[in-house]
Amino acid sequence: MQEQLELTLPNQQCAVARLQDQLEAFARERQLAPRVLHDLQLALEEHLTNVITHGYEDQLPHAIHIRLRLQGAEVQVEVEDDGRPFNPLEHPAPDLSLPLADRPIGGLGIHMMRKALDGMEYRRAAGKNHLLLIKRL
Amino acid sequence: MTIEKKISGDSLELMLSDRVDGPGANDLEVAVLAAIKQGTKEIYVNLAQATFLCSAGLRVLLQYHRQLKQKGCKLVVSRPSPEVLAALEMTGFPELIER
Repeated sequence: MQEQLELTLPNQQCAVARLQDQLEAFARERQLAPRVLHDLQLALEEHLTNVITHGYEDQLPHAIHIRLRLQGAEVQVEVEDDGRPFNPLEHPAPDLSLPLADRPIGGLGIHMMRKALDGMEYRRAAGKNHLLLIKRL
Repeated sequence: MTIEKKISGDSLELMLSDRVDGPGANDLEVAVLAAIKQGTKEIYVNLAQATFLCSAGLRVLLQYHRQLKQKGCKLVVSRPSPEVLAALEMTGFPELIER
């Protein structure tokens, strides 16, 4: 059975939906818990939307590489893009203590990634962002 | 994502299924704006069949929840799936859920 999944996406939002379909098929085949699939899908949706929407200074096509592997008791997904440097770990957490009416509408995506995942690691190398998403099984 | 609409009087139920992703959030906003334009007073966003809710979808819910509340109308989430309920709780927005 397949232990890893490698994909290259164009920097277009519609490609994210195709990735999510493939992730669902992979999770079904590997019998991953629905919660694990949900949390990975949510984190990937948030991160890829950020990369595609804010990551590029030009209008050219770019490739985003995704490598997912089952490693012991966790799933690791590495996302590599050649957009501007962007480390989500440096993003401040939103103030959730504010009443609903005063709460800013932005900044929730990265907060959701932090909550959904068990870990994230970021490095910038050779002009590329590498973000590792870690989810325990 | 698909949206099914059920109208009864001045209220509308939008039933969303599958992934409420970025494009899904846009579709939801279009449906909400159309309902507001038609004078709908109460909008129930039924998320029983939603497998996930991304931050863009959450922003649409929050924005129109506030906007309609100011006008004395309402937009709330009804019957969230366990995944959506977890997303609403992790972001501190349980107030969006109908009680």
